[in-house]
Amino acid sequence: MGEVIVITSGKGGVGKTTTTANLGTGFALLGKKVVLIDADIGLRNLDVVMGLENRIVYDLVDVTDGNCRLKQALIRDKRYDTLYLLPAAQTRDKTAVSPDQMKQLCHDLAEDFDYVLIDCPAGIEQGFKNAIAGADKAVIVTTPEVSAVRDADRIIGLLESEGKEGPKLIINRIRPQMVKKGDMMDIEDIIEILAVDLLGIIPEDEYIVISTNRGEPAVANPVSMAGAAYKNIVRRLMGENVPLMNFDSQDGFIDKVKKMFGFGG
Amino acid sequence: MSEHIFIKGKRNGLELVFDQSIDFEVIYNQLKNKLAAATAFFNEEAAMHVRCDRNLTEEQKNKLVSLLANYGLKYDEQHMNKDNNGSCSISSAQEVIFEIQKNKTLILNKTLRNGQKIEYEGSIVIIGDVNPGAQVIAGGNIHIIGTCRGTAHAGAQGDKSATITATRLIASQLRIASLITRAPDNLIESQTAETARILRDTVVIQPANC
Repeated sequence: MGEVIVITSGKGGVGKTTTTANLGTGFALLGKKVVLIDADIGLRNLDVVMGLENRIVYDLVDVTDGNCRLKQALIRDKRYDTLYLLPAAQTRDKTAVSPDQMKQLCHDLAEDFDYVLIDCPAGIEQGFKNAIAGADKAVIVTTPEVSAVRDADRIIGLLESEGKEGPKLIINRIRPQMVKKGDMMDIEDIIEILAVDLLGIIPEDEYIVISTNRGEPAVANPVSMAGAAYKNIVRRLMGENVPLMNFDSQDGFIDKVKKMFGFGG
Repeated sequence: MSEHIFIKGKRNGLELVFDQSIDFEVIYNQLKNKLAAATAFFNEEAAMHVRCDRNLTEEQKNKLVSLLANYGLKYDEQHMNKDNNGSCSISSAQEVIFEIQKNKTLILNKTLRNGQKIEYEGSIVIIGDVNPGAQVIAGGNIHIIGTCRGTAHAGAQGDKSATITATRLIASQLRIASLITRAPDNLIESQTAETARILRDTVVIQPANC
């Protein structure tokens, strides 16, 4: 049986879909068999971020409604043979599936795959309840902003009340220079409030915008800092002990390059 | 049998406080029962800070050390100097014990998160944090052994003598009886535990028990 992991946050726009795409691709890079489920019915994005939009024939609701077999709805990634996507329906809404149906779906997929990653929609309503129903583990994504941290806290509380203990935290879009100057919440502040295990930190990276637009997850790019951070998270999820990246030295390196080209610093 | 011992979670481990006036054997047996009932709760190798301002005999100390060792806990003695700040915290701990014995008290061993709400007619003791967006509403007093960042309402049925105490009191809003007060826009954080109570019809925050 594979492991079912839901990627959730409460607040929108913090990077759930980007994280799901990158972790999925990261697992596939290491040869694991992975399926990504887009649970954001009515506002599907994961297919676009993966660059698979034009291959959709059937979707999640078609499977739960019995219009097709599960295997028919799975789209194989164009780059990695062991990576699959189950897209969300775009013409329906969150009430089109029930938590029990999602539980069954996750169970069925976990039999064939090493990892089942669920991209949870923003909010705490039906869509959230569906997305977490079949998950064994939860990964919370937040950004270093008070609003995102508040919502993450709320989500952790809701997960606990659903009996899903021990969620892991990813802090996304950290800007080390701003943290240093005291202009951004630092990691310790966030951990102190949320009191959960830290799974990883993703630095702000322009390449994420490029990769999202191209439909090529950053984790496959060897120079992307965010991609490298996602790679580390994948290894931690597989049980390896990988130390946190040190962004300071990276900044130093960039500063050096800047100096070399006479941009001061 | 009433409880005379109390175990608090601290940043650097656990802290054992007990009523200093009770016989050692009673304390020892209660601790033994408590440890036996809560094995899964303790982390291996955690330090147990034992607070005492009466001196234990060598024999009593050894008994405690070996009992704690059975559960993988390390004994660490902390003497409370009457004239230093610590006496403040021990009297506050004794007050918690007193509170539990005297009133109907709800003891909650968890962190309250955004959107969670606890209501109780008696007093509430929370061992954990109260995060922003969480609400604690008690008919009696509120003790938070942890950080209070959310909203706390003591004396909710109109008891003006109710108090709110927290190890770190940085609540966004405090209410006692019908009075409401909010945190100042630029809060200066205190280094000690604090208590909020009503004095002359305003909510006043003071260092706990000093």
